[in-house]
Amino acid sequence: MANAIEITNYSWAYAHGNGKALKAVNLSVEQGECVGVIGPNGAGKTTLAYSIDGLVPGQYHGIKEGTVQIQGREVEDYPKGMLQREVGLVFSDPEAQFTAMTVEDELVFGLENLGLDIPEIRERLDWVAELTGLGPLLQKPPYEISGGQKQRVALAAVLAMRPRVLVLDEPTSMLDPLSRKRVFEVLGQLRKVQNTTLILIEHGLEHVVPLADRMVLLAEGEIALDAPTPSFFEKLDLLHHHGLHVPGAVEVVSRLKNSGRYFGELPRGVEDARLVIQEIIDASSTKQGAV
Amino acid sequence: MSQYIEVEQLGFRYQDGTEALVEVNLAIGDNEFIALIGQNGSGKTTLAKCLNGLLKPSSGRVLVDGLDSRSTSIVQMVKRVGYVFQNPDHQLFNGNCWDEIAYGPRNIQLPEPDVKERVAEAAGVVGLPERLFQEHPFFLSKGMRQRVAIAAILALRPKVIIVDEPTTGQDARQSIEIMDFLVELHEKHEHTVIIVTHDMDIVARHGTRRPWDFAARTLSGRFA
Ligand SMILES: Nc1ncnc2c1ncn2[C@@H]1O[C@H](COP(=O)(O)OP(=O)(O)OP(=O)(O)O)[C@@H](O)[C@H]1O
Ligand SMILES: Nc1ncnc2c1ncn2[C@@H]1O[C@H](COP(=O)(O)OP(=O)(O)OP(=O)(O)O)[C@@H](O)[C@H]1O
Ligand SMILES: [Mg+2]
Ligand SMILES: [Mg+2]
Repeated sequence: MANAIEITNYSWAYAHGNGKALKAVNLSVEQGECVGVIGPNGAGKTTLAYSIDGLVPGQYHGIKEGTVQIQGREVEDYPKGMLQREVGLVFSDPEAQFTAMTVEDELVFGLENLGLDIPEIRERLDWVAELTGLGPLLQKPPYEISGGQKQRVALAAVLAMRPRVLVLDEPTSMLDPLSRKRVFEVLGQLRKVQNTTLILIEHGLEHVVPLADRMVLLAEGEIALDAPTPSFFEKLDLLHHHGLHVPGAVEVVSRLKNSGRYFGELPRGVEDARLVIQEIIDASSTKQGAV
Repeated sequence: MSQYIEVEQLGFRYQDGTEALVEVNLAIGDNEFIALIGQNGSGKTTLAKCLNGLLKPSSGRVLVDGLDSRSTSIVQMVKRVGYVFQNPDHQLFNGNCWDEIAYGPRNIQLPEPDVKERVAEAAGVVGLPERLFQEHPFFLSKGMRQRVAIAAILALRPKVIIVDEPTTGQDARQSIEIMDFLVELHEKHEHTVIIVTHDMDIVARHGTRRPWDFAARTLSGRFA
């Protein structure tokens, strides 16, 4: 079976841009994989997201080289509207995504387009409204709610469609810490239960790391690093070179590993890191004790 | 002694009946650096807009520099309290950076030589290089766009500047630069700076006043 996403020697230059926004990108993602994408402002993350969703080249002028295939088919070869059934894209600016007059219509619109029957639409609406705490806001215009609430609408509208490939462009940037945590839990569940493929673009690494099987670093339109999450953080110098902030606890253990004082996998969160560091301390104190 | 901003029993209700603020009391002094935190929908943006007169209280009052926001023109308000939007892209609408920054001063009908001086000053403070003056904001990096948005507000020389989620969507390097810059505004230029943020690292590092938990107080219907 074809990979969920297969990008080969792909470059994209916007018609009015300075050179190529993406340069000779190669990326294969299997169904059910979760790939975290990070990189500085202007690195090409959103362009990559648009390319997977077909907005590039569909809605933008520019020059494309190479291929971008979703479920084995080139994005331009999908009949109108069909690619969006495979790929759900959550925009980094939620308002860019809104088309309806009420939050409820915003959530239901895509479901109607999928041709679902009314009981199924109802069920999914209740599910996402509950998930994102939007219940009390369903009758409001999506423009007359708070920033974080808008972001929840954008996310909920896409989640409700249950696409096989979910591309999320900074989906929690405006959420409060508890809501953000909840979203990442939900994404984790989607993956487990529905084997959803996740492309997760974020600036804050600490949230992506626990979920991502693999991390991709984009810099100036190129993939500077593509590695399984634990080994990704062994490349501290490269990450720092691109100005990325590595979660403190992960950095400490990575340094211990690089200096030969730790040999296991790098931890994914603060709590794991604490355990690892404790282990290292215990080990070194028993060693000293023996001397 | 009275403080620069005094908020007394402030209530704000949107047209559809949403009670966004309930009995908020708060005083903000001359040279503070404050982080406003709270859950989504707790009323942070609404409060910020009340402080600079974009929104007028439904009940209670907001006094800025002794002026009641309800009876003071928006021009007088924005000269004292500047507000940078949660998404600066929604604030930027001029064709180039220079016009963007000049918009406020022109709008308060300053003579053109003064406008020029204000633009140069504000661009200098945010570190916008001259070669970008004629660029369309859309073609700048996200960090630079945030700076242009801040410069546009600074050009009115407000005492207080409120930046709604200054680091959202910014990479680690830009976030640090923007925060350093806001600290400089506070320390060197003696502005009172109020940031709205969900980033607790920033709160821990920069809030000089114990950040108050907005949500908890709104929920109880009462601010201390
Ligand atoms: N519509 C457009 N026209 C011309 N150039 C563009 C357009 N959109 C983006 N670019 C340019 O393409 C490059 C990649 O931009 P992109 O938005 O993909 O970066 P990003 O990694 O998502 O950045 P950020 O972290 O700021 O969201 C940048 O140099 C940007 O200026
Ligand atoms: N234009 C509007 N019309 C009606 N209700 C609104 C409007 N804007 C905001 N609200 C509501 O007012 C309340 C406070 O919103 P506000 O934008 O002040 O929250 P916030 O604390 O800034 O949230 P966030 O962290 O998500 O930005 C919310 O319940 C929101 O839905
Ligand atoms: Mg982007
Ligand atoms: Mg807000």
